[in-house]
Amino acid sequence: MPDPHISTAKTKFAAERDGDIGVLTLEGTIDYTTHKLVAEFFDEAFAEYGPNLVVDLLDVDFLDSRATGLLIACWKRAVDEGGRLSLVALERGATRVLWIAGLTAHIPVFATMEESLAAARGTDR
Amino acid sequence: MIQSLLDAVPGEIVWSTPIRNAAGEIVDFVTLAAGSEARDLHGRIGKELIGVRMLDAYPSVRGSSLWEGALRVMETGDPVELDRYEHEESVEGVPRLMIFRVRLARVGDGLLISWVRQDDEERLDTRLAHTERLGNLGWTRWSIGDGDVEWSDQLYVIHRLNPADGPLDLERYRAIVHPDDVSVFDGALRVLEEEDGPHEFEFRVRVGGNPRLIVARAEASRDSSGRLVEVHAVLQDITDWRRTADQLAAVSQRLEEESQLTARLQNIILPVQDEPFTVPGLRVAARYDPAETAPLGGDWFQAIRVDDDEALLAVGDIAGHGLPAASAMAKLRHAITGLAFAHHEPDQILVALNRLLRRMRPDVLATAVVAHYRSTDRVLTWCHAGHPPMLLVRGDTVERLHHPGVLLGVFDDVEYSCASIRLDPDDLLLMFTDGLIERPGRDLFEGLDALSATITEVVRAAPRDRLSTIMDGLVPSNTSDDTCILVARVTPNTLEVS
Repeated sequence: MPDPHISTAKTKFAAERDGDIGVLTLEGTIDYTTHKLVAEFFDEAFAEYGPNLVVDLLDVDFLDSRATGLLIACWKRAVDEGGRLSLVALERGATRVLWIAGLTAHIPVFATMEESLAAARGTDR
Repeated sequence: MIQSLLDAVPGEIVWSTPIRNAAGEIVDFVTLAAGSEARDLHGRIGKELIGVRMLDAYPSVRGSSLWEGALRVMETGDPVELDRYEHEESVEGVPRLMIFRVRLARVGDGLLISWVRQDDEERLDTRLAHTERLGNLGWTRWSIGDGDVEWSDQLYVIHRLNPADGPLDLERYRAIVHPDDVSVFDGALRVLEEEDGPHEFEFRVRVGGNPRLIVARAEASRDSSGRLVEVHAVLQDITDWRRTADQLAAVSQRLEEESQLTARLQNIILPVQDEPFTVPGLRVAARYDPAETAPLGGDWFQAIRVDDDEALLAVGDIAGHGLPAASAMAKLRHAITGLAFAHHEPDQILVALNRLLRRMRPDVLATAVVAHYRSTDRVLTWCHAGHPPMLLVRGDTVERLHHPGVLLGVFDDVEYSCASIRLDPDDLLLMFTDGLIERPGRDLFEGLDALSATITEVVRAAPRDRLSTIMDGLVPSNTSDDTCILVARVTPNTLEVS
């Protein structure tokens, strides 16, 4: 099965495997118009890589409240399935909303992919 | 001599003489006379055709039935008629197929060629048939005196009649008119007798047991004594069109009613006062701007007097639109009112709201900012649950008030903590939902800075009524989301009163 990859005019989602971790990259606008695509993309990712996921949000330029809800739902699903989902995001731009929403105290967020992957591998052992 | 003859003959006709080679074989024809109506496919008309060589100008004639015919006529002297001569040639680079009926005759030592374009007639017929079929309309002529009737093909289709049985004359047509509309039909004939027209009439006819709605556009012609001779009419079956139009009108009306109902519902769940109102120590103005696309949203505010010297202020946002969001919003808004009267502090209120959502509406995500104001010492105590900061306007400076906590409805166990600040008389406090500052591609805090700049500008102009002026100056940045805004001004004489 190929790595999940979805691309539209407003968004680009890509995924690849790193050991037993799925590395997901979301780019562009994540709002009600792309919500369904993102949900499908995550479903495929869970099916392909299991519940250990790292989600790169550094190039997201809009994240609405439903999309935030979806990220939370995916984080919960990963935890429920015995895995771990972490985010790569900065406290500025579109992802500032994660801090405003108070999520960073609950969901692991890292400033770089390297840190996120290192933390993800650390918990695997 | 031949030219003057052709000048007098109607139709497309030319006279050409053969060009022979040394062996005496005909290698081409050159036109020496042309009728004034003659026109070739390159647009040459009449005498412009004189001097034109046949194979030179129309290369595809070589080897065609026309060429063979021309040679035969010149040889035998017997005229030849080509019923369908198909000529294909590129005109300005575009290949075109044209069909002609051509007559060839030897006149003198030359060839008389006359032709009629066949495909013109065919094309017109086809075009007319398409028009009639697509418009579901047909043409008729009813002669009054001799009862002669002509119908076009589509009229038989419309009336489900067999063309072999011939058209209906006026008497027989009147017999299929719906009984309720016979008076309309008779009235139409009377009108046509009196005035030339065109006139338009609408009546139903019975076709195969079903009524069909026909619109007739008709005019009359009469003889020199003014007596009606003929009625020409175009009849169109507008049954389906009218049904669609009626359905459309019904749907539009239902949508209009729904949208009025929605607006009323919104107003019941979230009553908005147009005028500023007073709660202890504060003058409050509030506004709700629905999303352009969804009149029923999930943003809400609350501003109530809890005690003589205490007020509760809150603004919140339910993710989503429509009834599910509105009903969750109603739940939260009512709950917050009850909790405030039970003298819960903002952090306790948020814990309870979160528990309520987790138990009753686990599908819902919500954010809120809840504040408690005590007018005796002008202390504001507040906390945020996933909600954007508030703004405090003091003099002409604007600062953020943010004490972040997690949004509501996500985690079963949450804790919030409060922050407090002492307000000054005439301070303005702004609470709002993200529709006011959110814009794709922009940091929420940049939106907040832009909002602060707008407010600074408004305040520096020193308006007499700061509360209303600021409220009027606030424009939602994201019109696809709903927006709720609450502005509170600290009443100057609060302390003296208490």
